Amino acid sequence: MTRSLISIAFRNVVRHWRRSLISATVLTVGIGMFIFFDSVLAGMDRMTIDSMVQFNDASLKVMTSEYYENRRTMPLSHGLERTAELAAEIAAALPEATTTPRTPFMAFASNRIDSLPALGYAIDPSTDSLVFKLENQIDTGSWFSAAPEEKEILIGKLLARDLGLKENDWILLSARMTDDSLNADEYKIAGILDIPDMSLNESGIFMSYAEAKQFLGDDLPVTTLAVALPRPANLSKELGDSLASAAIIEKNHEGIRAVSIAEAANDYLAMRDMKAKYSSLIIFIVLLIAGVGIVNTILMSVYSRIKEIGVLRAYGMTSAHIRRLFSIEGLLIGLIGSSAALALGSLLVWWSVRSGIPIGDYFGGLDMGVIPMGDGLCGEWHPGTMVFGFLFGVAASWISARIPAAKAGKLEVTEALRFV
Amino acid sequence: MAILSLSKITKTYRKGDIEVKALGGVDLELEKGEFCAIVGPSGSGKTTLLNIIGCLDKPSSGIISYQGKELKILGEKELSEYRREHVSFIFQSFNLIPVLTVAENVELPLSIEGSFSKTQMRQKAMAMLEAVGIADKAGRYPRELSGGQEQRVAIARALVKEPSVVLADEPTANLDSHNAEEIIRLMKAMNEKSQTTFIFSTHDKMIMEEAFRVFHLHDGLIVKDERKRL
Repeated sequence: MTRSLISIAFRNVVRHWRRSLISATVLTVGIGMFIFFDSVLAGMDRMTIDSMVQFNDASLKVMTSEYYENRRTMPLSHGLERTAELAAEIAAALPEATTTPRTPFMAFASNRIDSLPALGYAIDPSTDSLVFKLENQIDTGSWFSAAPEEKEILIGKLLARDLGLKENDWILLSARMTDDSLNADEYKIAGILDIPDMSLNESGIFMSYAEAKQFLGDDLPVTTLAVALPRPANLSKELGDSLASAAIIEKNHEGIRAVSIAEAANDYLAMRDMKAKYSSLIIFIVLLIAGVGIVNTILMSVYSRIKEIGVLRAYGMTSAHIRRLFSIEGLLIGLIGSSAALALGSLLVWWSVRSGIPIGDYFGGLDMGVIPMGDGLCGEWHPGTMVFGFLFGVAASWISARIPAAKAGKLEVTEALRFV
Repeated sequence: MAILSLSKITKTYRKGDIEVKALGGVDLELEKGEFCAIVGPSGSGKTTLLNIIGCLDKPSSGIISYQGKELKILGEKELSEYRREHVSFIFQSFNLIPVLTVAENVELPLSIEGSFSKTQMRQKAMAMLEAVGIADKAGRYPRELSGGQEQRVAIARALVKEPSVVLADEPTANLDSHNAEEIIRLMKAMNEKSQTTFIFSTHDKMIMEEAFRVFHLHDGLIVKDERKRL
């Protein structure tokens, strides 16, 4: 019996291929887009976290507890002691980790006409690239010279644009020194950095510790030690690894706070969860539309086959069999639509993973906050979402078909046979 | 013992506030292997009576029994089982399933019954198509057949499960006289061969002439039970 029901259902889906195709297409587009957008959102998450890790927050940042308490004001006090030993101990505890010191400070940058707030970083040019990818982001100019003849700094591309400066131009910086007195000095722009992190791109200034000590005071401390961990393929693992490593460092060093990327990105991750709720709402609306389409398709199928239903009942099928017949039709449309959705979604994800979506072209360097707008937004493969989307599409079709199927099952045999 | 027995069967329909009495107390008994016709003017209750015999419809009152077992008290599942195992239908407009081939249409009642393998179903279907002279059309779809051929398929479908009773509602009404004659001859041959009870509702004089027994129905009552031969 089941074989006959499947055979009749399948042939009816094929026979009325136009309306089956319309319903399946709604499902295909809906689920396919859900798979694609989920991949893009996951890719956006990864790129955002990558950007934070590669340019600002590292996998984790080590600092004193006192500095941690005041970190938002970027004080030039509460620095780390015995930085070299601390780095060696971290390397011993986490053999795959690399470290570099960084001291952030607040400053003003000026072209002598306009002045803009800037975010300064004292860095170690020889070890910075072990942790950060700043060196790869040179847009024009060059990285720090090994033996600079003049006072060199690197600045973000948007900051340079806003101040109307280019490489080899001079920039005036002012900042409070370690003794809280105000200092100002001129620096030559050695290079301009095009950093995916928009906040650094529009306010970042980088100078070597040697220059920073002359500018901010000889007693300038190393306030943070940035630690890089290997990048796993999966974001959840990356966040988990950073949390676990931070815990190890804190356990081994009293009075030290290790801020993992999971903690640093807390606000962003909370926003991501909110975003996931919105994407669930979108998929719900899309599936609702697809569901209405399927209800309509199966209802049309019921109305065009009322006499056939009467014949099947006359030959001994029960109303449950009739319900099953039309449910199978819905299920088949769901399988066709969801399979095509899987193919469409996979194709789009493959394209976004392989080539990246040229999102920068669309937004023209627009500041999107923490979301990096680089050369291209790469999607991520999410097999779980694909399976979920497929199963959800099939289930939604099947559930949608049950409404007209129930109607078909309730038809009186004699009325169905009389139907013209 | 009669294979089918109807006692004081009434059927009243409600159309809004109006009650329409389709059957007003029908009594009849049918023996195995009878070839009989129910005749009467339009609206006399022929189709209603066939529907009640076939358990497609329930009587408003009265008792209907099949081989001594009362059918009115059965639930939907048991009535479906009764239709599945003991009764077959032939319709005026053939009502073949358009998406199934001729052979698959004939296999359908066996598939619904569910006790045959695919090979057995195909063998039985082909044998029945052979018997109605249309085996060469087994792979065709109903839309590719003429009316006469479609009704032959419908007869094969009705007989393939070897039912005790075949109910035919105006089976020749949509056929030309030549095809109608062929179909009547075919059904009579099947009746003689398998001792299946055939009950027709008809206006067709040819069927009336061929029937062994004719029930004349008027205003929901059998006014004459004409036995031509036993």
